[in-house]
Amino acid sequence: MTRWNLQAVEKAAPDASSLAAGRRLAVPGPWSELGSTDTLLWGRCQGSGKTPYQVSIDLTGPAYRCSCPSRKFPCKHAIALLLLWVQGSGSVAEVAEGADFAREWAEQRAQRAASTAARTTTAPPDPVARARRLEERIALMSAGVEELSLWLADLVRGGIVQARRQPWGWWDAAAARLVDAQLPGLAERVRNMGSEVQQRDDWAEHLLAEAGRWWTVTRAWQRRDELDERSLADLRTCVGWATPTEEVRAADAVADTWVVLGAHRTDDGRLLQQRTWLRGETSGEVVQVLDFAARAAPLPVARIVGSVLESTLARYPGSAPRRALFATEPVVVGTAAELPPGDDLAGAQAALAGVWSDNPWALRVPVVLEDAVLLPGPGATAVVRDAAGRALPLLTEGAPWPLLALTGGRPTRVFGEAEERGFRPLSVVVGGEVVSA
Amino acid sequence: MTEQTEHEIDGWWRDLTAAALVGTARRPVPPEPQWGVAPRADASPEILLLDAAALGGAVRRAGRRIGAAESRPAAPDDRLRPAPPRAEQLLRLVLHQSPVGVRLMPAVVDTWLRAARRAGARVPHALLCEVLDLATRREQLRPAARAVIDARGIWLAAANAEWSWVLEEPAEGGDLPDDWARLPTERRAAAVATLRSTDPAAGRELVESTWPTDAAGDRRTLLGTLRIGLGPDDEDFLERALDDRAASVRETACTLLDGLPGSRRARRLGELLRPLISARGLRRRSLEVELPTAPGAAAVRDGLGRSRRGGSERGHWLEQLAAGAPLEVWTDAAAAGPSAAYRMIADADARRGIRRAVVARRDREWARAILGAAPDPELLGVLPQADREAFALDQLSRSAGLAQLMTLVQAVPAPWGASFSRALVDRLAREKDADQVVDALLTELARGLHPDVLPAVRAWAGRAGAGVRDPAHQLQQLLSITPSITEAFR
Repeated sequence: MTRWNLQAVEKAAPDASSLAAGRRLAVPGPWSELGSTDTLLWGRCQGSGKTPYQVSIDLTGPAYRCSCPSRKFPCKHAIALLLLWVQGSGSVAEVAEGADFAREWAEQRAQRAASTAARTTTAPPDPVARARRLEERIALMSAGVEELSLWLADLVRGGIVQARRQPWGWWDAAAARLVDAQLPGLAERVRNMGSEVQQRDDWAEHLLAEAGRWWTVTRAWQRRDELDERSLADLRTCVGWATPTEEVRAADAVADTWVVLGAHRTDDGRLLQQRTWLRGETSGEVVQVLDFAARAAPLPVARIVGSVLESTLARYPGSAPRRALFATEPVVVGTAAELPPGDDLAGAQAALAGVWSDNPWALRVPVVLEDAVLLPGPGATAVVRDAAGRALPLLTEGAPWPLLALTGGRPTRVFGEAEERGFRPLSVVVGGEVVSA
Repeated sequence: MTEQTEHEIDGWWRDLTAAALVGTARRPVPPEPQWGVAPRADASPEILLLDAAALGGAVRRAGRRIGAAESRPAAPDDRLRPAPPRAEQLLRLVLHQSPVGVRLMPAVVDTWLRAARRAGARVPHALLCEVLDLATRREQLRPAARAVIDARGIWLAAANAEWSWVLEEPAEGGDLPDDWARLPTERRAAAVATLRSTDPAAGRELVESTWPTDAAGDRRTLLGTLRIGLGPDDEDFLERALDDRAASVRETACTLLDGLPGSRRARRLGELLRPLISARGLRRRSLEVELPTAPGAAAVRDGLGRSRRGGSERGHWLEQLAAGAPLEVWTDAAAAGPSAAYRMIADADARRGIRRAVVARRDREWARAILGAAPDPELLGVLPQADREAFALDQLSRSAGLAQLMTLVQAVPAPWGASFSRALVDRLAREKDADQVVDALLTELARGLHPDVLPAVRAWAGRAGAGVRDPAHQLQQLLSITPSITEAFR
C-alpha cells in the first residue's frame, strides 16, 4: 500500500473549508486510540459532543467513516486523521492488527461490495403506468423542442444582433421553459450562452454556430425513431434525459484494470460535478465517471490520479468517450508510473473531429499529448505547444504558474481534455510519477 | 480542406454571420458552398439559415487549423541539489498547516530558506509558486528566496510580472544621478545620504553646491544628511551654517556640532561650562553645577537660545552646554574617569545634556559609564553589537519597565545568547499583563530566542494566561521546529 503524502490528502478533501477545519484538528490533543495498519487508519477524536467520534479510514478505497454528524466524505475528522498520519511524527503508530471498530467496518464493507455485485434487481414497476408516464414525458419534451425551433427561427428572422441587447432575464426565461419541458441539458447551454454573448469578442459567430447545434437537436428529436441506439443516447445526454443507473448496470459490464488518467471538478454555482477519466488496460478504451452533488452535499470520494483500479464498469450508451459507472466497488491494486503514449496537437484535433462526426453535441475528448511543452503566454495565460510547433491555449482554473513550475517548459507527456477553445491539462508526468495538474 | 476551399468557406461564413445579424427578414441567405449536401427543399429562409449554421459550424470547427506559436526556451537545469524529502515535507507543512501560526510562518520559512542555502539545496518545484508569492508579500524573505529558487524559479519569475523583483538587482550604492541638482529634495537627500557612507567629502560638496539657492526647509533636510559619516572636515561648513537665516537650519547645525567635540563651538561651550562646575562635599564626592546666566550673543549663536519646551530656560541652557562641550570638562572637574564623574553629577539637565553628547559622538566609554547607572536602550545602540547583549542582560535584571523592555529588545541584535533569552523569557513570564508587549515583540522574539530556552518557553506556555498562551505556544513550536529544519537538511 503506497503511503499517502500531503498533496494526496489535500486532493481528497471535498472542499477548502473541510481542509482548513481538518488542519486545525490535526494536533495530538483531541485524539486517542490512534493507530494504523497498512490498509486501515483509525482513531477517536474529541469533538463538541460528549463521546469522542470514532473515525476509520480504509485506504484501499479510499473509504471514510466517522460517527460525527457531518455528511461530507471525508469529514474534517477523517482529514485530520490523514494529516496526522501523513506527518509521520509517530502519533499514528503502525500496529499489527486494527482496533475493533475499524476492523469490523472494513470487513462489513468488503461483504457489502460483494453482495452488491450479486444483488438481483427488484421487480419492475407496473408496466402500464410506466408506459403512460413515458408517453407524457415525451409529449412534454416534444412540445419543448417544438417551441425551441420556433424560438430559433424567430431569432434568425429578427437578427441575432438583438440577442445581444436582451437582458439576462430573457435568456433565463428561455432556459426555464426548457427546464419545464424536461430538457435541462439544453437549458444549461442556453443559460451559458446568455453570458457568453456579453463576454466574447466573437459572440456573433459563436451564437450562430451554437444555434446551429441546437437546431440539430430539434431536427434529431423529430426523427428520433430513425436514430440508432448510439445516436439516440447522445441526443438524450445532450438534452439531459438521464438513463437510470439500474438500466445501465443491466445493459453493460466490462471487467478490467483501469488506470485513473485524470480528474476535474467544476462548480457552476448550483451543482458540483466531478469527472474522472479511466483507461482500461485490456481494451485501451477511455471512459469518464461522472459524479454530481448539489451545492451543500458532498461528492463521492475522489480517485487518486495514477492509481490502478480493478473493477467492473457499466458504460452508458452513446458515442465515445462513453460515460461509465462503477458496478463493483473498485479495488486499488497499484500505481501507474506512466501515462499511455499520446499524440501531437494535430492528432488531438483529429480526435476531436472524430468525436464530433459521431456526436455533434460532444464538448470534449480525452487526449494524451506527447512531448507537450507548457509555456507562459501573454498576460497570465499559458499555451501548450507540440513538437511540430502548433499551440493551443491552456484552459486552467486560475493561474497556470504551478503547472509551469512543475514542467519548466520542458517536453512532457500530458493528459487532458481537448475542447473547441483549447486544452485543459489534468495530469502530468513529473519525476517518475503521475501528478495531478 | 485545401487552402482554396478554406478561404471560400471562411468568406461564406462571414456572409452568413452578417445575414444572421440583421435577420433573414432583411437579408437573403447567401448560397452554400459546394460541399455535397443539398439544401432542404421548400424551406423558409430561417430554416435555410439554421441548416447552414449547423453545417458550416460543424465543418469549420472540425477542419480548423491549429495556429503555430513561437518556441520559448525551457528553464535551464537547476544547479543546486533537490531538498531532501523530509525537508520538503517540513516546508509543505509550514506553508499549508503552519504550526507556528500565521504571523510567525514567514520567519520559519525564512529559516528554511537559509538552511537550504547553507546546505546547497533548492526549493522543490511543487512549492516554488507559494514561496515566490510569500516573498512577494513579505519583502524580508526576498534575499533568502532569491538564493534558493534556482534556475526554475528565475525562469518562472521572468514570465510573471508580480515576481519581477527576483530579477531586479537590489539597489547597490549606484552612481550619482547626473541631474542631481534638479531632483526633488527627498531624492537629493537620499542620494547624498548614500554618498556620505562612501565619500563624505563629496556628499558635503554636493550640499554646498546648491546651498545658496535652496529654500530653508530644503537646506535643513540636506544639512541633516551630514549626520551620516560626520567628521571634523564637516566643521567649517557647519560653523557657517550657525549663521544661517533660518532658525531650523541653525538648530540642525548645533545638533550636528554636538557630535564634533574637537570643533571650535565645542571649545567655546566648554569655556562657558567649565566655570560653572565645582567639586563639593567633604571628600569632593559631588559635582555641583551652577545654572548659566544670561548668555552673550556668541552663546546664543552656539545654541543657547529660547527653549522649545516649557520649564526653566536656564536649565535648557545648561543642557545645551553639556550637550555641546567636550566631555573632558566633567572628568577634569571630577579628577576621575567617566563612570565616577557621571555618578558625581546630580543635576538632571546636565545629565540630559551629557547623554545627548554621548549619543551624538557615539562615545563608547561614556556610554558604558552611563549604562552602568540606569537602563537606557538608546545608549545601548552606541555600544558595539558584541557588548550590547551583556549590558542588556544587566539592565533586564534591574527590572526595566515594560515600555523600556521593548526598546531594549529591539536594540539587541538577533540571535541572542542563551542567558539573555532565558532572562527575557523569565521576565515576560513573571509579568501579569504582558499581552501587548509579547504581541508587539513577537517577530523579534521569534528571531532572537536561543534554542536552549525551549523548556522555559514550554513552561511559560503551559502556565500563561489567555492573552499570552497562543503567542507563547507559537514561540514554543517555532523553537521546536527550527532544529528539525536544520536536521532535515543533513
